[in-house]
Amino acid sequence: MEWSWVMASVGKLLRLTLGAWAVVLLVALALPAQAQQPSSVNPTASSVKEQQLLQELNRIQGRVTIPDQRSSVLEQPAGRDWRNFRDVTLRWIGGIAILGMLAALIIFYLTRGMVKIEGGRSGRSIVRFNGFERTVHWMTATCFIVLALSGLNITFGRPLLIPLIGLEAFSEWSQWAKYAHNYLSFPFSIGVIVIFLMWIGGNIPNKLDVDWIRRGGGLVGGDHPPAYRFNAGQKFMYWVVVLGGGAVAASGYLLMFPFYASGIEGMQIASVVHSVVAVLFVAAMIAHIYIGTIGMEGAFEAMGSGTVDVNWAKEHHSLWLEQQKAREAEGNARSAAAAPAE
Amino acid sequence: MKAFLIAVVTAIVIAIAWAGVLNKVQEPVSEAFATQGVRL
Repeated sequence: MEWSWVMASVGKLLRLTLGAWAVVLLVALALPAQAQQPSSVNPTASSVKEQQLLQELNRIQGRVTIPDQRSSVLEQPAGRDWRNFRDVTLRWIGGIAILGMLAALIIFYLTRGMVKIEGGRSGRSIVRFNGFERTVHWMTATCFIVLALSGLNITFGRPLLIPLIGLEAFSEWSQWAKYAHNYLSFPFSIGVIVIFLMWIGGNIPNKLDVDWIRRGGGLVGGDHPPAYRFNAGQKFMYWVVVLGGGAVAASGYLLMFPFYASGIEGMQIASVVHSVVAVLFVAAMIAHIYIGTIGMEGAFEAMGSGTVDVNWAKEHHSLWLEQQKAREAEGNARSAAAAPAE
Repeated sequence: MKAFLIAVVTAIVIAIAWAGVLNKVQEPVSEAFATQGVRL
């Protein structure tokens, strides 16, 4: 009886001891594993970061079930640069170019005033541009004004117009402006091509232009350097229209027909070219409009009625006037010779 | 004035013709980004 009690006590003690050792062993084994665990769990620690992907690939692309497979491109790093250019850089370039030109012209007008016909009006006029030339000019000009306003709306519309007219009106106006921009691009392009062909003969730069520029073109000082039909200033405008118009037309059609001739990268470059050339074009045309209206007496008539005062022609295009007079005299002599003698 | 009016009318006529060409050539958004599959 006593022996069995002793054996039971020893067995109980042994079980307790073994149990305690087992607990100690488990804790000892668990500790190193626990020491390796981070204090806070980061479920994406082992996944690839977006920036790593963008460094390795030129785009992040997935798969789509819709017909347009190009929509599978989720991210394209160059797109961020383009967006930054469009939202920030372009606004600075456009703002400085257009407001700078306006400021310069205001200062010029306040200091120089309108360039008058020094000899006064003679009362005699001479044909400067025929009906066809004026029609092409005005077609290109009216298209340009609509294209410029609707284009500037894309760059400056959101920050400038939304606070004034609200979101709904801006949305409606922008939609119509976009239609006008797309549809009037074609008559504008035709106008630029016809202008190029129609006036190329008189717009090749020559030595006379150097002298004209050196003498300030009659705008600075009271000098009137000689010029044929187009002086150096007008030649400059001609090439701005031809080259600038050509550049905006070509880049604009790339944007109008997305993915027809280029990928997304090409379209981003086209967008940058289109917008930069366009804002510089607008700035140049503001100067053109100024000199053709309030900047110079008698200049608007050339594109208005098509005729200019002879004294205006004498002061600004003296060599052209001589050519016209010689041609007229030649025509008169020819008709006199052809007339039957009495 | 006559040249200006002719210019504006010419621009509008060419623009309308160009609009017709554009609408024929370019795929509308509803077609470009659509699928024939039906999602139920």
